[in-house]
This record gives sequence, C-alpha cells and structure tokens, in this order.
Amino acid sequence: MSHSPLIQLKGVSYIKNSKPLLTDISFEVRKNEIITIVGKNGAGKTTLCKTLIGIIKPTAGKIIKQAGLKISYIPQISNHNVLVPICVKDFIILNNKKKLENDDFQLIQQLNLEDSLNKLFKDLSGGEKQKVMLLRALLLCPDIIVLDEPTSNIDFSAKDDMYSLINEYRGAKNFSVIMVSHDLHMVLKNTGWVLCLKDGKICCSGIPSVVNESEILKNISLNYKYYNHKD
Amino acid sequence: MYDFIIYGLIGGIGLAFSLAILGNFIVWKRMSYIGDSVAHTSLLGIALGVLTSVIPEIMIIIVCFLLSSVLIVINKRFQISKDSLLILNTQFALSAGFVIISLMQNSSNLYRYLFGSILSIKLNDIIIIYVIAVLVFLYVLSSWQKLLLLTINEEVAISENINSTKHDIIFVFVLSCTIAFSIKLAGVLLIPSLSIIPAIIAHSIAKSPLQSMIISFIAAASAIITGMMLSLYVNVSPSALITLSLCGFVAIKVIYLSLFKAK
Repeated sequence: MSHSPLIQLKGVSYIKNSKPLLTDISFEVRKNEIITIVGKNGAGKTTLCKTLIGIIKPTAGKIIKQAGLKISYIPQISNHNVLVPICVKDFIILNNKKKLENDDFQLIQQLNLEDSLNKLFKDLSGGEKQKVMLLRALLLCPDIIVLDEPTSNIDFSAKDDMYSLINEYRGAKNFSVIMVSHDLHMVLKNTGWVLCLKDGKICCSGIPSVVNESEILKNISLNYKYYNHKD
Repeated sequence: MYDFIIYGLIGGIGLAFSLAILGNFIVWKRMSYIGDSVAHTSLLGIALGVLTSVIPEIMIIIVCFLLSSVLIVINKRFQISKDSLLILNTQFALSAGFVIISLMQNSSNLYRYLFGSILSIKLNDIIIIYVIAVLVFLYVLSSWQKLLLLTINEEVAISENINSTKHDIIFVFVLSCTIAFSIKLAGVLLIPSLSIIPAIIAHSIAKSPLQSMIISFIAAASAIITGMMLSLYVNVSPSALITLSLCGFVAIKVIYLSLFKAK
C-alpha cells in the first residue's frame, strides 16, 4: 500500500493585482488525515482551499496530486446559486449516482435530513444547506473533503455532532479532511494537524498538542476570549 | 388556414423549444443580458455577412461565438461582473453593426433582421429550426448533470473535475447557433424576450429543473400561437404581439401568486 501523500504543495504562492495572497506555502496531505486551517479574516484560508482544489492557479510553486484523486469541496454557504429549482434528493446525487442506495439513508438520518429530501434546496436554511453539502460530499466517496467553514450557520449543539460525524465517516471511509474553521475549541479536539495562516504565510503548524497554542490564539482574534473562558 | 401561418406556427414552436431550454440556464446563471448581447452581436454578424458576401447566419455564429468567448475569458481572468461585460459587448456590437450598415449602399434587409418576419418563414427554415432544436436537446441531455452543478455552484463543479470554461464556451456556441437561425423569425429585438420571459414565468412555479423547462416551453409556444392569431385580426407585427402575450402571462402569474399567497 502506498504511503505517498495525496497532495503535496511545494512553495505555492499566489499574487493577485500585485498583492501576495499566499506566500511560499508547503505542506502535504496524507491518507485519513485531518488538517485544519486557521487564521484571521483575510489571512488566505479560502484562497488556500481554492488553490488546493484547482479553482485558483498558483503564480509560483507546485501542487502535486496523486493520479485519479477525488476531491469534494464544500464552499462557504453564500456561494450557492439559489435560482435553480432542484430538490435535495436530486441535488445530493447530482453528477454522482443514479439513485440513493439503502446505506445512504443511514447517513441522511444521522444528519437529520429525512424531512428535507423532498424540499427545494433553495428553500433550506443556511445550516440545512451546509448539512446537505456535507451529505453530498460524503456520498461522492472522495479521497479528500475540503470544507470551508463547515459549521458557520449551524447552531452550537449541532456543531459538535457535525464534527463527530465527519470524524466517524473519515475513519470508516478512509478519506482525508482539510477544513477552514473558526471554532478553535473544536479544532483542537478534532484535528490531527493545525495550519495557522497569517498574511498568506504559514506562521505555525503541527499537531494541536505540540503547536504553541498561544501562537495560534494570537493569530485568531475571533475565538480568543471564548477559548479562554471555556477552559 | 394559410400556409404561411402554419409554417410560422410550426417554426415558432420549434424555436420556443430551443430558447426555453437555453433561457432557463441563462436566467439561473444570472446572465439575462446574454440573450440581448448575443442577439445584438448578431447584428454585427449580419452587417459583416452582407459586407463580405458570406451567408449572414454563418457570420452571426462566428462573430457571436468569438465575442462571447472573449467575454468568458475576461470574466474568468479579471473577475468583472458578467452583466457589465455583456452590456459592453452589446453596445460595441450594436454600434459597430450600425456603422458598417450605414456605410453600406443597401440596408433594406435590416428591418427584417431587427423585428423578424415570422410569416415569411419557409420549409427549409423550419427544417433548420428543428435540426437546431434536436441539437440543443441532445447537448443539454448529454451535459445535464454537469450543467446543473456548474449553475448551482461553479466552484464545487470545478473541484469535481468539470471544466467550467469549456462548458461555458460550448453553451455560448449552442446559443449563438440557435439565435443565428432564429433571427429571421423573431428578430434581434425580440429574441431576448423569447429566451428570458418564459423562464421568468416558470420561476417560483417549477419544482424541478425539468418542470421549469416544460413550463417555459408551454408559455413560449402559447405566446407564439396567441401572438400570431392576434396578428390576423389586428394589422401588427406578430413578433411584438408574441412578446406582449408573454408579458401578459407574467402578469397573470404575478396576480395568481399574489392571490394564492394572500390565502
């Protein structure tokens, strides 16, 4: 069995309108790994995700992907076009399979989406849309799922369930996860590797227990107070 | 009934089929100006066709395809909004078309292309319209899932290895061909109404993409029949009456939905 990385980024930079949005980013994603990208707004988290997927072409450096690599991307909720009248049960198998199989219904139940299957995707709330996107991504059986702020719009109690579900399926289906998150307390609990971005550069990275937490906290203004309060 | 009316109806329904399918994607992609843009670009195509003695329809396809492809590339590279680019294209093509036509000696055919002449349709026009309708149907059928995903979320589609630029260019090419061969029927000024208004009628009524296309087609075909029948009684161009019929359907839909919601 090959242990070569699924994706390798080597010195990746991206400059737009003379402004460097990513500078010299290098890391790799291995099978069954969970990597979380953290950083302030505008640090380059979403740009990095889009570069990994191929939406943005880097201006320097290399991205080496394993042949036939299957990636599922869950973008931020605001990016969806809600004009297409497509119902959830058609949307989740779009560009994937002909119909839902028996195993799929277990996943639908775990995400509490049984009652939403016949609703139009555009009529769902932000949180429900995000769950549907996760369901669709999982049904694609990818090698890597890239999630850009997967728990935004989701109520606090459901956030934990969602992270647990991602972890459970990651173990069962053997895929890797790359996610952008502001939920620091959950990031440190659920992730295997933290990548902290500042001004488009990696300012620190490593496993949560080894990475200097205060260094991460300094670079994430949003949850700093909450995190301290929590512990 | 007169042959020219039957030919007009058969041709119009074939055109309604192609434009209803493409029009839905145009409205979903928030590119409503593309109908206008391609239709006006076709004016430049007609002018260049007459100037170079190339069949106008062929020149329309070439000019519409080239200009639209350039716009797609600019949109993706420089992230200028689609509607701004489409208006830029419309104004450029319209002005350039008029300049060329003004410099030409004989521009008497211009009005035919501007307003269309559904009643002058011939058997060979009908054959071309139905060949185009079959091609549009086969294109959308073969790329249905990819086109829908690209429309709902382009970034998700790209992550699943769907080439968005390729699909956008093919879409514009199919649209250019449809408009090139419909221009004699509906005219530069009325083609956008036949592609956009039926999709507006279907919006918020349809419960699936397919249903939306069926509703759009029924609305467009009904408007063509209504417009042509009305033109028999009042001496007015059928194309304008077709558009007015479509606007009437929109009004009926709005009133119906308001009453329905009021309950």
